[in-house]
Amino acid sequence: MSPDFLVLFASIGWSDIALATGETLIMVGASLLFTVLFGLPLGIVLFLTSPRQALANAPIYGVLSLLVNLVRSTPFVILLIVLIPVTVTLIGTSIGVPGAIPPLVIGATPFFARLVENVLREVDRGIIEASQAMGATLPQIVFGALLPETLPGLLAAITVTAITLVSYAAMSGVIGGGGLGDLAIRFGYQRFQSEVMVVTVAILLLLVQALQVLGDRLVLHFSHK
Amino acid sequence: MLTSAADKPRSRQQAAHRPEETGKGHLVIDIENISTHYIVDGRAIPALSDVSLRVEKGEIFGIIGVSGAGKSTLVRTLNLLVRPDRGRILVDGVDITALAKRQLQSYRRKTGMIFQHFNLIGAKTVADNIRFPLQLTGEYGKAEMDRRVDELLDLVELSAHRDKYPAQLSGGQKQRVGIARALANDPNLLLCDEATSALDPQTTQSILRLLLDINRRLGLTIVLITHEMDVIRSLCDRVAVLDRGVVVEQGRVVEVLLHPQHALTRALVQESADHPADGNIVDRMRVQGLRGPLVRLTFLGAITYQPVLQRIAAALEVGFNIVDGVVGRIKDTPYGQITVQVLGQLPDLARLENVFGEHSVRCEVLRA
Ligand SMILES: Nc1ncnc2c1ncn2[C@@H]1O[C@H](COP(=O)(O)OP(=O)(O)OP(=O)(O)O)[C@@H](O)[C@H]1O
Ligand SMILES: [Mg+2]
Repeated sequence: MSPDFLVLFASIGWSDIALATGETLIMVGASLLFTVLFGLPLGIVLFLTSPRQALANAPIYGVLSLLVNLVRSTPFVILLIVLIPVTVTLIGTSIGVPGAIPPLVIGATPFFARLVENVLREVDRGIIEASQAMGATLPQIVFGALLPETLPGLLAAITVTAITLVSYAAMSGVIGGGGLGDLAIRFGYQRFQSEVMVVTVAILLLLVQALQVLGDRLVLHFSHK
Repeated sequence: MLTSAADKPRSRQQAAHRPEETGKGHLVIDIENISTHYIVDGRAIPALSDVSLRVEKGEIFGIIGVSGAGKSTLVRTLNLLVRPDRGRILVDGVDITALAKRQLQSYRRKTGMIFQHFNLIGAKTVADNIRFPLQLTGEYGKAEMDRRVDELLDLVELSAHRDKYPAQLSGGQKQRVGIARALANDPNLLLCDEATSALDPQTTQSILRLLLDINRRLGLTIVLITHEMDVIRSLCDRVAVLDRGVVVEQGRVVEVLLHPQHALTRALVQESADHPADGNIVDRMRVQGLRGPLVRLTFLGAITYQPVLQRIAAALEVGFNIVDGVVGRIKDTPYGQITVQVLGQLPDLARLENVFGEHSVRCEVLRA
């Protein structure tokens, strides 16, 4: 390696980067947890109320679907800004790691719920029919048949959502969200330290790659096709 | 209770003769004038029109018809996966269409169903698929469930495959899992929707044998639908023929197969015959230049193996020339149905019919 190159990277504050990486991991982890917590039931309700399903209900499905589409069609940067007052009301601040989590969850939940709905839609109707024929109640069908049957698909959906959250989390740096995105903006963009930008992107890539590999492993482990 | 398929040929025989003693099959189903429809593109398309059937306890009742006739729809009304618009379905006198949700669930737990495409849960092992209906009831402890699952695996001869996933099984094995699952809660009624249509002929035979065995040993009432007359022939006691949502013929299988009344039934019987007849036998004989009376004789049961023709020929001083016919079995009943040319000077056909009648042989004059 050329000395220039080393000098370039020597100027990077590695402790800042380590801190920012930790923050990003926390933001992604926490928001993923809440996204799944809210998005899974929402996805199940979307599925069950959709046409020709067990709880088919056009008005409820229509309203939920509209809300989901509303959030999904709003660019995340806009959502971040629009949601600032909501975040402040919820947790008292709109900046830092905690301030980033509500918009991340609100942004990702409809996305994840729609993925869940689609995964459930892939289940062979025959399996639902067989469960009904066995005298299963609706919760028994959902928890005993649908969710086990779709576990690999759900894990894939969680993986995609986690990766989306990595990029959302980085974007939340725009409104002072903390983490790698924040670092990239403060040093890489505002102070023209492009090497910080490079390192940040490399770490994000590594993170995404790791999530994808982990997700794929889990999917493979739980699929019995 | 359940034992493996291999042992106990003796008790199986006994059960066949006295199904009421097994303590099962106290069940009569009366389908009374039911109609259903589907909505297609906003229009109501009738699927069943004024269907009435009676299924007796312990019997295997077949429903046959061509694709789209409404067979699946009809069998699904028996556990209300399809709800009729009109009519009643009485099971032991109780109208199941009037059951509350909970009651319907417990009725369904006592009504097994198997499907053409098996509908197993791919994420569960063989054992867990069979355990699922047991878990649904919430009535069994873990040890009890394990014991029951083992019994059922034994019954369908899949003990060696208990920890496999459905994707690792052959079609026939999957259907065996389906059967074990359907029997898990000790049902009073088993519904089969084209249980063998996705299987090859040999596997079909083994599944049909298993169903027959279950029917005999457990005295379990079975309603099955099929588009193959051979399935009806080898398994069913009574049959209904469904055509575009209407029952056009029903009765004992021997009766319907040997004397089909409706054109569709005749076509279905013909299709499954070893040697599909080309046209009407009387016409064929005319072409062959055969003169004299033609009669069709139907033998049913033990008489099939008696030398009736020979005896009557001697007694009435006539001769018989067999021009067409078949001897075989329908389920357990031996039968023969032959067409004979009656030889001799001016044979008295009325007398002939009487004499055959005395021997319990049905005699129909096709051409005098
Ligand atoms: N879910 C549905 N929606 C609309 N029409 C349906 C539906 N299910 C069945 N039908 C129609 O109702 C009629 C009867 O269907 P059904 O499945 O009962 O026939 P089937 O005798 O079982 O046929 P197959 O032998 O092909 O299985 C057919 O014309 C079919 O197109
Ligand atoms: Mg069908």
